[in-house]
Amino acid sequence: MSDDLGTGKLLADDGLLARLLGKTAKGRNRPLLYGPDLPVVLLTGGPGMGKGRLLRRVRDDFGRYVPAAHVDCAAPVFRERAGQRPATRSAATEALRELAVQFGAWSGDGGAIGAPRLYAGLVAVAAGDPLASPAEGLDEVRRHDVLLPRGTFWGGVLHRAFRAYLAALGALLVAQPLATPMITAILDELFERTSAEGRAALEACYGAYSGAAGHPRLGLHALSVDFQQGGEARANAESFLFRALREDVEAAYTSVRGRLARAGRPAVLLDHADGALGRGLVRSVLLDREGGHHDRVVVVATARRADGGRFLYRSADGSGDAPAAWSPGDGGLPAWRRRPGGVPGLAAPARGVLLVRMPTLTAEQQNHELARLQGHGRDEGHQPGEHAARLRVESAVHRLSGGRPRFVTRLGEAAAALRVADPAAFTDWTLLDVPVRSRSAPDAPPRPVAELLLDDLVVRQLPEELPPEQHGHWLDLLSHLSVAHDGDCAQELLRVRQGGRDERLSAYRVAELLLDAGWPYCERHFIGDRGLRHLLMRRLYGMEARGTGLRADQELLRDCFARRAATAAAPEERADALFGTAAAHAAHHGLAAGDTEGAVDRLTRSFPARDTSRSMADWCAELLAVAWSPGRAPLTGARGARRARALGETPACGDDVLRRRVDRLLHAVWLYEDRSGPVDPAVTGTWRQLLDRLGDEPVPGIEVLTRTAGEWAERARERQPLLPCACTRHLG
Amino acid sequence: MLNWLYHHVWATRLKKAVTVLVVGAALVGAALLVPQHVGGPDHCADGVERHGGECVGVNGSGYDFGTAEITAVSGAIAEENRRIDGEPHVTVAMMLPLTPESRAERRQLRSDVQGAYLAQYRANRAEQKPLIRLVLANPGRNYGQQARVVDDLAALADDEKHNLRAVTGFNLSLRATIDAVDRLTNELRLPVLISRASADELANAERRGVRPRFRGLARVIPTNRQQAAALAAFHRGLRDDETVLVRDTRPDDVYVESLARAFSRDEPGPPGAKDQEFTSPSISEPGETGNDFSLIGHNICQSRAKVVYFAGRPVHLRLFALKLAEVPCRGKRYTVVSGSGAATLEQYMSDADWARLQGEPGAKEPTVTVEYTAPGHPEAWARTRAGKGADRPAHLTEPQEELARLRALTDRQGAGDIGPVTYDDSRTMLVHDGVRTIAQALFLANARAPGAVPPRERVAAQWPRLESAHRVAGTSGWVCLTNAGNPYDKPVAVVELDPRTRKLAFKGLGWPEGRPQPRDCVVPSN
Repeated sequence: MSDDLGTGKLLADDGLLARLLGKTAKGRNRPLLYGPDLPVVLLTGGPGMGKGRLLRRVRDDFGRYVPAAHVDCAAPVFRERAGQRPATRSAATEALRELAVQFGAWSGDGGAIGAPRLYAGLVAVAAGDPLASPAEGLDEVRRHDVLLPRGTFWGGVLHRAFRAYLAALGALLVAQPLATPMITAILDELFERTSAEGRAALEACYGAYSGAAGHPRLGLHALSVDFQQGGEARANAESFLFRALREDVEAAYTSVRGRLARAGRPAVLLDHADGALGRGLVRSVLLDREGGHHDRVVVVATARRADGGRFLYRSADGSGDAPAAWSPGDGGLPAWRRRPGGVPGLAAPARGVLLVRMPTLTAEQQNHELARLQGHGRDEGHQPGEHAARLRVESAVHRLSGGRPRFVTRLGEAAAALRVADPAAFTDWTLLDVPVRSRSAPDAPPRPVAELLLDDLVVRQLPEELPPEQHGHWLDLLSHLSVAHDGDCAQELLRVRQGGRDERLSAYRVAELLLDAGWPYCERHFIGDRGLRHLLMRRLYGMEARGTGLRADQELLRDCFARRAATAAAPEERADALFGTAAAHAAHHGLAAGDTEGAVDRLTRSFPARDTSRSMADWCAELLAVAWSPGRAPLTGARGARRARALGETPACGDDVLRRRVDRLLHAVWLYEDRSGPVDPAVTGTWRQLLDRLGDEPVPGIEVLTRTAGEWAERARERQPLLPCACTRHLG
Repeated sequence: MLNWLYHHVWATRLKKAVTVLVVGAALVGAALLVPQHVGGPDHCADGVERHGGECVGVNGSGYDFGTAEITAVSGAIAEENRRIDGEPHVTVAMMLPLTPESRAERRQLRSDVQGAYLAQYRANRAEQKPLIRLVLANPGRNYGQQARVVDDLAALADDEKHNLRAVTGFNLSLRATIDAVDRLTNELRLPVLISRASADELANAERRGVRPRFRGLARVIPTNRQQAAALAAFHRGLRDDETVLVRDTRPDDVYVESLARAFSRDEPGPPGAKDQEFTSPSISEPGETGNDFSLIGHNICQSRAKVVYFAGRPVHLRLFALKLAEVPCRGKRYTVVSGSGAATLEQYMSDADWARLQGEPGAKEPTVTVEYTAPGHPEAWARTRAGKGADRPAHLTEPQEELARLRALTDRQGAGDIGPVTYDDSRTMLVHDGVRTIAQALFLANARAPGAVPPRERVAAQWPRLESAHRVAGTSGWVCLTNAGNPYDKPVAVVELDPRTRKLAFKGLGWPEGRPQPRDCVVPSN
C-alpha cells in the first residue's frame, strides 16, 4: 500500500499535477492543462494536512522527469544567510539563488537550466552596497559564480574571462580603491564580455525594469538601487528577480534545443508559502501573470488558511475576484480560467490562484494507514480479543483525527505501540497517552503521542503574526481555551488567565490567529478542531495535579455564567447564543467540572411542569446544551459509574421522582454525547422510556417529548451527535 | 521497464526524432539485408534464385552469377537478346556451372560463354531464321542442383514466347551431368548438344537397331575413346611394355573412367607394368595424391615404360608430372599422355613447376613432357601439311577459313566488348562450333516449316542430317554427325606441353578412325 495518504488522486497519471507538469510520476507525457496563462496552485489545509509531504512527493516523483525546484520558505537558512549581509542579501534573493542552483543542477531531459538573467540581477544587487569595501563587494559578487551558465549563452567568452577579470579586479582593489562605484565597474565588465545573444536577453529582461526605458544597464542599476533602498522598492526588486529567473527557465524551454529536448513544464515548489518570503514570491508571480507576463513555470505553493491567505485579496474586492477552489474529492480537473476584464494593477491577485484543498482521509484510508503502521498483514496470528481492540483503536483514531493525515500517522504509531489489555476500558484518551518516539529525534525518550502532536501542529507552526512575547505562552493559552465555546467564553478565560501579564491577547485576536494557522472554525467550540481540542484539554488536565487546572477553568466559566445569570435583569441579558440561557451555560461547565447535582437541579427546576414559563422544546434544547459537556474521569466520575446512573442501576438519592428521572436522562444523554468511547446501545435504548416517563406528569408539550425521542433515536442509529457542529460532523 | 523505455526513447521531441530515425534506419537495413540471408528462395536475378548458398537458375538478361570474368560477355548476350526480343526467336540454353572457384576455371568459363555468344552473334546475322536467344543456366557447383535448373528449362521449353529448343554446354563429365542430359533428352525431349564433355557415357553407342541411350543427343567433341584412339593412332608403333596406365579410381567421374577404358586397349608386344591406381578426393583437390604419385613414380622408374597414360583430372596430372620429374631415374625421360581435359593443364602451372618438369637446366630434352589430345587447336589447320593451294583438302581449308573469320570478328571486337578472347584452350572454338551446329539444325528444321517455330522433335530429327551437304564447317573441324549424334572422325589435336617454351606445342592431328575425314564428310555406313 502506498503511503500517499489520500493524495493519490492529485498524483495520479491523469491527476492535476501530471496534467499541469505534462508528465506523469512515471515519466509519461500528458497533454498540458491550461496555458499559456497558468494559475498559481495553492495547496490549502491546516497543520498536519500533508501539504509539505505532497510537495516533497512531487519533487521526488515528478522531479525525476521535469525540473522541479523545491524551497521551504519557512526554513531559517534563508533568513540566516540574509542576515549575514543585510545590505546585499534578503531571504528572497537567497531563496531565488537556491531555486536557480536547483535548476542548474537538473540533469534530465534537455540538461541543466542556466539562469543568466537572474545572475546578472543578483550580481547587480551584490555589487550595490556603497558602504562595502571593494574586496567585500567582490566576494559578494563572486558568491554567485555557481550561477554562471556553463553553456554557450555567454558565447563561451564570459564564463572564464569574467571570473578571471573578477579575480584580477580583486587583486587590484585590495591595493587601491576604485575610482568608480563597484557596481559601475562590474556592469561595465559584464556588458563588455557578454555575447550578442546574452546582451539581447538582458535587454529584453532588464530593459523592462521600471525606469530602464529599454536600457538593461539602467535597469540593473535601478534594481540595485531599489534593493538598497529597502521597503517597497526592495520588494519590487525581489519580485523582478523572480521574474528574471522565470524568464531564464522559459528561455530554456523556448530555445530550439529546449523545444526539441525538453518536455512537460518546470515546477517551482514553495513550501510554507504563507510566510512573508513565500507571500512575496507568490505575489510576484501572480502580479506578473495578471499583467500578461506569462511563463510556463508551474508554481505550487502551500498555504494554511483556507482562503489561501489575506494577501490575495483587496479589501475593496467584491466576491467577483474569489479564487477558483477545487478539491480532489470533487473529481475531474479544476476548470480554471482567468476571468476576462479586470484592470491590471487593480485586480486582486486571487484571480490567478487555483486553491486546491488538501483532502482528508476517508475512514477506509485511515484503516489502511493504521494497518500499514501496525504491520498488519504480517502473519503473526491474532490474540483473542485483539480484533475487538483493533476496532476500538480504529474508531478512536477516526474520532480524534477527523481524517487529518498527520493525526492518523501519529496515532497509528501510537496504536502500533499500544497493547490493549481491556477493550472495554479503552477510551480515546488512552490512545493519546501512549508514549512513542519522535521520528525527528529517534534517540529521545518516548513521549505521549498527544505531546508530540501538539509539538507538530502547534508549537512548530506558530501563527506568523503572533507577537514574539506570546510565543512561550501560546500553547498554554490554547490549552485554557480548549474548554471555551465562543468568543465570550474565551475572553472571560483569557482575562483571568492572562491576569499577570502585560501583553495580553484578546480572544478574538486568538481566533484570528487560529484561522491564520489554518485551524477550522466551529460555531460551538472555540478550538474548532475536535482532535486539537482533545489534545489541549488533555494537556490542560495534566497541567496541574489530578486535573485541577481543567476543573478550575470549568468552574471559572461556571461561576462566571452563573453570576451573569443571577445578575442579569432583562431576559435578553440572560440569553446565551449557544446555550439558550446563561444558566444553562453555567450548568454545562458545572457538569464538566463534576457538579452533576447542580446540573440536575437546574434541569429539574426548569422542567415545564415546575417552571411554567418554559416550553418543552426549550427544555429539551437546554437538556442537550447542558449534556454535551465533556466528561473526564476523575473530574466527572468514571464512565462505568455514569453508565450505572444512566441505566438506573445506582439511582440518584432523594425522593423527587422527576429529579431522579431527569438525572437518569441527563446521564444517558451526557454519556452518549461524550464521544471519547464507543456508543453504548443500552444507554441510547433508555431515552424513549425516560422521555415518555417525563410525560407522566400533566405537562404541556408531551408531544414534543415523543417527537424528540424519535429524533434522538434516529440520530443514535447513525451514531451522530445529538447537537451537531462543524467539528463533530465526522463522527458516526 | 516500459516506463524506462518510454523515458529513454519517447519522452521528448528530440528522443522521438532520434528513435524514429534509428528505427527507420534499422528497418531499411533489415529490409535490405534480411531477405538475402533468411528464409526460403532468395532472389539473385531474374529467373535466378539462391539455393544452398548458390545462385542457380536460368538468366538471359545479363546477370553474371557473381563471376566477374563473364560480366562483359553476359552483358553482350543480354544486349543481343534485347535486340531480337521483338522478333520471332527460339531459345538456346547454355548449361554449365557458372560459379567456379579457381581463377583458372573462371577464365575457362569465360572462353566457353564467349564461344556461345560469338556463335549466337554470327548466327543471328547470317540471314537465317529463326533467330537465337541465348540464356545461361547455372546448375550449381558440379551440376549439384541440375534438377532444379532442368525444371526451369522445361518451363522455358513450354513457354511460347521463348521456345527453348536446344540445350548446350556441359563441360564436365559427371554423374549429375548424365542425369541432367538423361532427363532433358529422354523425358523432356529437348535436343541437347554436348560441346565440351568427352566421356563415353555421354554419348550414344553407334549401333544399328538399338534404342539410343539419349534421344536427340548430339556432340561436337569426340569421346574419350575416340580421342584415345586418335592418340593411339598418332603413337602408332608403341609396344605394350613401353606404356603404363595410371588411373584415378574416384567414383562417379565418367571422364576418368572412359579415359582409362580407352587407354586400356591392347597393344602389341610383351606386357608392360600393371595399371597404377590412385584415388583423389575430388576434381580440383589434390589431397594426398602427391605421396601416391611419388611411389608410383618409383615403380614406373623400375619398369621399361617410357610413355605413361594418365587417366585423371588436370590437377592431378600436374602433380603427377611434377612428382615423376622429381623421382631420380637415371636420366630416364617420360612422355605422359592424357585426355582432352588436360587442355587446361597449362593454367595450373607455375614457373617453379615448369622448371621441375624441365629437369636439369640446360638438358637437351626435358625429363617429362606431357602430351594430350586437345579437341581443337588454333594452329592445327595452319600447321598441318597436306597438299598445297587448291590441292589442300577441304577438311583443312574450310575450318581454317572459319577460324580466320571468327578471329577477325574478335580481333576487331565486332561483337562488342566480351572480355579478352583466347583460342589456345580450344574452348571458345568448341562451344562456338556447338552452337553453330544447333543453329544449322534449327535452320534446317525451320526451313521445312516456314513461319512457325519448329517443335523440339523436329530439331532433334535434324542431327543426322548434318553431314555431307549439310556438314558444319566448325572452327575445330568438320562436324558431321552420325545417326547416334556423334561427330564422325572429328580430328583431335595432339599437343605437347613443352617445359622449355612453356607453351602448348602442336604436334599434329590425330584421327580417331586412323585416317582423315572422307571427302565432303560423307559418313560411311558401319
